[in-house]
Amino acid sequence: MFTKQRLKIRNFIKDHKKIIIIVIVIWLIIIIINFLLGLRKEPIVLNTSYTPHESVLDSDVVPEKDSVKISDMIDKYIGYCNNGEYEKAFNMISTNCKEKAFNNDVEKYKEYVTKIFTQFKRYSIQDYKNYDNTYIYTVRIFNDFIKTGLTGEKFATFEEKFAMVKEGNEIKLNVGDFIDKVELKRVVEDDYSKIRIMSKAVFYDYEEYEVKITNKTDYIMVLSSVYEGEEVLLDLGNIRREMTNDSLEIALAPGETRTYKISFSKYVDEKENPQAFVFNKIRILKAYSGVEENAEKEKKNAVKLYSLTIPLT
Amino acid sequence: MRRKRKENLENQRINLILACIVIMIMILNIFLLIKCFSSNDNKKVEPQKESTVEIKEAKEEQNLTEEEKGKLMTEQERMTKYIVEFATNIDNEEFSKAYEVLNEDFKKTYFPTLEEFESYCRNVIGTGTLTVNVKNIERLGNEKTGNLYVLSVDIHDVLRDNKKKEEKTADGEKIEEEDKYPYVVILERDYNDYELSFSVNA
Repeated sequence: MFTKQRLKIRNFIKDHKKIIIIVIVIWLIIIIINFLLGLRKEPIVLNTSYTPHESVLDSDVVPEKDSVKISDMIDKYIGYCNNGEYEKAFNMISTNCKEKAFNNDVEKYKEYVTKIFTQFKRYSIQDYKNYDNTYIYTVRIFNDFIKTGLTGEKFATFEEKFAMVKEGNEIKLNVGDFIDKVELKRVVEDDYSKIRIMSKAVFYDYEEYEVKITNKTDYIMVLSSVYEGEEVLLDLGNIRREMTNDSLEIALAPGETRTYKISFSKYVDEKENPQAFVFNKIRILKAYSGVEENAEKEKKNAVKLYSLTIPLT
Repeated sequence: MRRKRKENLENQRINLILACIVIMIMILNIFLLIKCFSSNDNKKVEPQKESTVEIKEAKEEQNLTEEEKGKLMTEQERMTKYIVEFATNIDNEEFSKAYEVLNEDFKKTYFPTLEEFESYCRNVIGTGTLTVNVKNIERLGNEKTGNLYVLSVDIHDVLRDNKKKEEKTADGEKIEEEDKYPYVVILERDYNDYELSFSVNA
């Protein structure tokens, strides 16, 4: 019974002996590997609540390849600051940050560092917000409390935002709460003026606009006096904010072109985006004294009073 | 005819290979099933009404070493453990053990010798009837330089501090929050690998 079949199997085994052995060996190896992997214990790491690379605002996690770089970078930067190697630390900063936050002046940067690093400092980092290719971290800098146990000192930390930005193939740092520079290049021109919104520097809690204004008239052009309110505004859609440079007077002589830095309070994590830049009270005046008492009289003799809205979107 | 026969033979071979594979998988399955049943039987013996996951976790935890268990503790539990150990050593007058965990720079500045530390403990902190109550823990530091914790700790000798409070109340002096709860700073590198310092009363 089944002699034929048995013979067939025997022949088959004889013919495919090598293949069968190879298959069995591979199969055994797989079983052994599985068994060993099952036995392998994951090393237990110290349980902490520290999640430095998880954004506190939207729970976004920085990819590991970037998070390692960022940690190393901040550590290196703080190390330079602690050791007083200002040039090296300055070189880690982005071109925009050097320009906007420190006027490309190492001495100004040194002043900023020495104010914070009065002694050896420790730090901790926490991812705050991520967008496009920018990672914003909250960096807390504090005294080496372990050396003193806070004897005779207050438990206080210094906090600011660091932003990591790509500059070419490199990642560079933005410090001093400077987040980003955005080129705007919006131009509005009429018979009286030419206004160019060149760029804006985004800081953690404010935005600074670089505005170039040309007075095309033969009269004095006033866009902002020190004594009037609501002259220069930033339209955020449902709210308008006044410029924060309270003492900034924008008055141009006939034919004059000047560049101004105009700031508005705006946190980087606010949902509302700037919609328009508004010059609410432009006055083309025959005479301008800059004195509040004469303002009404000067306005009465004005060549033109108008407002101008420059869309930013 | 011959060709057809050859083809049939080829088909049979393939079938046979497939059959072999199926048999292997079956053997493997039977093996896994037996293993699974035997482990279920073991669990039935245990007189516990917990869910399978809980039993598994409990079993895993049983297999852990003390160090591994410590690593799984929450930060709050670990910090409390460290500070309680420190206070217990002072309470039991084992000053050298408490002195050992102090940060070197802190020791150099405030307690260059063990005797000075001992004297401070006896005169300022107290021994014998110490109680420890962690009021607040704030986490600082980073993974590169170590995790730093600042704790507000109510650590006092029950008998002695009661007297003090009475004196202060009699004088009408307001006890400041900072006076009540001195700081303890702990730098933890790993489980049970830490340094400690505290705000010293002048």
